[in-house]
Amino acid sequence: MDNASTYIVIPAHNEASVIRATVEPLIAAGYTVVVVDDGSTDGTAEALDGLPIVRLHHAVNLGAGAATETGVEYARRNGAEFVVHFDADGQHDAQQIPAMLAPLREGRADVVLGSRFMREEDRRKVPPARRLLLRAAVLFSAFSTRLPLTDAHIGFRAFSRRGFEAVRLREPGFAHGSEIPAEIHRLKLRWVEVPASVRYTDYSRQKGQSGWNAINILIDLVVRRVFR
Amino acid sequence: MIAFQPLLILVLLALLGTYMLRFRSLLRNRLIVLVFCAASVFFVLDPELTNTIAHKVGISRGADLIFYLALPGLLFMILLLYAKVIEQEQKIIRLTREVALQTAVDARRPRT
Repeated sequence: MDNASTYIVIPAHNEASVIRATVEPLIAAGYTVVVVDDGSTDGTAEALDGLPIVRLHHAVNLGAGAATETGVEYARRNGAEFVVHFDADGQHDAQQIPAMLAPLREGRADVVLGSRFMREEDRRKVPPARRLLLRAAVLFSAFSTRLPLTDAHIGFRAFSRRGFEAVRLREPGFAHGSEIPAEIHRLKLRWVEVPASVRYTDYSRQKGQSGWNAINILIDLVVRRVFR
Repeated sequence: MIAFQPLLILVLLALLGTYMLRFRSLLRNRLIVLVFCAASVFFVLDPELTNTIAHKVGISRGADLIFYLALPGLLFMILLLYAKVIEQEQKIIRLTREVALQTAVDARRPRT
């Protein structure tokens, strides 16, 4: 049960139809799965009935960033060794988690970020319009955080204890995807990127963020930088 | 005295009364509001005064001076309110998070 000290944090808002399929391979691999039901109204919580996981419930919908932070706080209080951020919609691959954890286990990094742009075959899986948008996000992120990443706003990340103790998310919504690199830079954490492939299914494309949401994220970031 | 003056003063006093009675704010804030209201009543009673001040700073009409001062003032108030909303939002997040953590269901081990 070596993997039990690795906490997989999954924020879920109305993911009833897919959450079980996302969680099952993680349980099979022996990880501690922490699902944060972010005020779902479609029976996401019930869809998880009977599974040997940790369930947290937000009484009101707060956003993916806030839900992730709640799951990470649970991991902090329960003595986790590693924390992995994982999307609920099944776009990430449980089999890639060991590769994400490797740099942490070797003590080379505090934070490991998945990247869809390190291998050509991963890159090709990203829809062209999304690729263009992400390019812009990468540039913005590099400009505002001075972190030369190859990808931005991927929900697949891994943290050592030092990493997840230090990074505390304040962005409630999806802007946390930009907040994390900024925090890594501010806190001078050691980070690496690891190639990760993402499955863009019809479901994830429909359920996931619209590209237009980038405008919201940008406004969130600018506004909050002013009011922090 | 024109009919508009008592009307405006009545509105100002009603606002002041509501503020003082309904909200328990800091003494400092109450004093600021009181001073502003007193000044407003003063300017309503003697409109020529605003004209005189306006001329001194190179604005032709007193009403324009009030307008120019009011605009940044209102914007500043909106900013304050927005900061308050964000602060409130962080409080709701902390509260919801704490409730979630306290009511966590750990199904990994058999419950006793």
